[in-house]
Amino acid sequence: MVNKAAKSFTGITLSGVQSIFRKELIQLIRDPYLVIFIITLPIIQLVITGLAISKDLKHVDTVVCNYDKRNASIELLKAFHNSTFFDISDGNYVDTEDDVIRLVNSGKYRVGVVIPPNYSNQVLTESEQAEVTLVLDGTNGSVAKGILNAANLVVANHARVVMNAITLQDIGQSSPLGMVTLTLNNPEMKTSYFLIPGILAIIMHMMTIMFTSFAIVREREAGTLEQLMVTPIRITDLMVGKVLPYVAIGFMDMILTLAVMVWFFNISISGNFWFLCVASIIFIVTSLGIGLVISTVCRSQVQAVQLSMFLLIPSFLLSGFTFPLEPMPWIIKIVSYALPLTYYMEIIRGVVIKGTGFNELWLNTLVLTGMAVLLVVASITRFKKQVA
Amino acid sequence: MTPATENGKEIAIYTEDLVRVFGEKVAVNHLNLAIRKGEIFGFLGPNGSGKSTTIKILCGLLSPTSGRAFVSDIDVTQYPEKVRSHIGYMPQKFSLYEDLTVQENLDFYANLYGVTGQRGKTRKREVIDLVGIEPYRRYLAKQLSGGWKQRLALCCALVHEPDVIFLDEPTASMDPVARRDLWDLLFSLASAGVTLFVTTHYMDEAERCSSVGYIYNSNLIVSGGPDELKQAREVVGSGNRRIEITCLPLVKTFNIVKALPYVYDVTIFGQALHIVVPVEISVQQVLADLNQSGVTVQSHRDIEPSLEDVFVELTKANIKKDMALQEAPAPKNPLEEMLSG
Repeated sequence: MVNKAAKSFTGITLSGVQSIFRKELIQLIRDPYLVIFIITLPIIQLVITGLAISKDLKHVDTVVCNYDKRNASIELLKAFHNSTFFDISDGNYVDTEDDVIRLVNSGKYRVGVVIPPNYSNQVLTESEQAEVTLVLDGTNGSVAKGILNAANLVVANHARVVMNAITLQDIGQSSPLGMVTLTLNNPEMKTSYFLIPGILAIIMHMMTIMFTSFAIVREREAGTLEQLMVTPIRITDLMVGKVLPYVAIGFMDMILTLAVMVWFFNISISGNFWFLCVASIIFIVTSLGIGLVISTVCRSQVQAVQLSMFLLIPSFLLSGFTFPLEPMPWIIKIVSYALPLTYYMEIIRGVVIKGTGFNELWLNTLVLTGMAVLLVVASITRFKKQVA
Repeated sequence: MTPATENGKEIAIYTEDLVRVFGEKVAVNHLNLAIRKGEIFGFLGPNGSGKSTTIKILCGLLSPTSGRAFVSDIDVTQYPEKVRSHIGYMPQKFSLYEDLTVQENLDFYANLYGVTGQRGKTRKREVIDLVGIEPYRRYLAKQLSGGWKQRLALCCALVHEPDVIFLDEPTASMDPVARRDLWDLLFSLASAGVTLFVTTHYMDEAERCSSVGYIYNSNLIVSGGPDELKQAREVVGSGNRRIEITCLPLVKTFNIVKALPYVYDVTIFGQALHIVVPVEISVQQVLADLNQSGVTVQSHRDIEPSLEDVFVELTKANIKKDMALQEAPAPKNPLEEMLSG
């Protein structure tokens, strides 16, 4: 009647974790497609999406209406053409501003330049600021913004040239053509510079959530979980043993994609690499936690995919990857700051682009750590309740 | 606590008023069982009658809504995790890892049960020899046939020398030869003192158990030794006579017999018919009636009811009762009513 006090059901044992870990590794190796998938998928995703969005604006065909037709305006147009952002060939000239608007509207050109009749006078005499009109197709906001920035750059540079040549004596005077704000951290105006670290974060997030949620749901679906539950295995051992291989895989994927970023896209990590590694591991564990919570809720792998998607889409949209956080209404901001990806997005962009480190990003790291602990504990508790 | 012995033999599985409710459905209704050590207990009943739920409670996978359950003297409802090192469980569906080899599956479970080191080596060798799976040790589990998969499952369920093994329809996916082999294995385990709790649909298997319980619609209708059950007159319905006749042509005769006004039931068994008639009807009368219809009976004999007959009649009787209950206001617990009546 009296039983030796059984080992406590909670806690963690090395032997338990080892047994599960070893089994998980064997199963992983037995599935060569999965191994190939795990290694190549993040790289392919990064390369494809990276290439797709890193196609920066160059040689945009530009329609021109020059009412002025004198040397000063021709110089300006040459500046536009020579910047390599804009292409102005002989066939691109039209007679009226209305033609420019019509052609841009029809989609034949993305951008048009209109030079007013008194441009030369205004520039030469500096009686008033000369106003060149840029007609822009705003359909694709980010493209339009890129073109606008390029145009500002060209105009600003040209203004300096004009000022040096003609009004050396009045150097303190305001620009005859207008000013441009210089973009920090991304002088080449490469969008890829900004987006690729973000894509990397999203790929890591997605892969880790999917793989971990599958790991346990697959056992539930196959009935093997039930068989496991009649053994004296501790639930913590089971969870840790199952998840450890995926931490390793997640970290390996992380290094691989970072390598692609550095050597394929020529984006170097300006900050501390080791800080990025530590923060990435914490982020992977947080993603794992989400995957585990999903796996305690779902009965089948299909459900797991659906629920992952339900969580991933707001992450893509609200983490600051697609849209900047600052202008969001406060209620959306609350959602944004509930997403782990938001914090990691700031970390990886900070370290890679700006070269910031722990001193600036300690709060993000702390929040991620808290989330990781919370999610893992929550999933283990939930799982225990289901079994008991 | 549990009655440690019954009729001088130790009790391995004991339940007292065990109830499990899922939402509004009662899956197990006041189940009382006392299974002796070293017994093969056959747990029978139609699908969905509560067999698997009972097993899951006894394995500590599900907690009961009320009642108590003891396995190897451990209160399952209080210490579900303690019971686990004392039991083996073989679910209905193959639940080992298809992408691991036989040896890897066995190693994995041995590790989980803490059967390691020298003891692990010896024990693994023992179970491999016991189920005879040695030639397939390096095969992946998914390459095995149904019968060998079940042997592997048994192998893994045995590796920690459990006192009690639960087998949920172990022979469902097996051919007859593999079925018989598995049963021989179960007998040798039982003779070594292991208690086996087996669910099955096969009556020949039920007849090989040392005791049988029949559960219908969440209620345990009867339990006892297979022979006792067959003798239980109140169960089979007293006043019935069972006759086996061999005759030609079989199907035509079957229809003629069925049309006879006094026949309760008729079933085809191979080349013979089993006919159930009231005891007042003599064999001679039946033969005469058949003769009149132009049937030549080659041979005839009185027979005992089979276990299948017992269960078919039990199920029929309970369906009738269920239907009657639907019309009249239902008493709370049909089992209690049956036991008292």
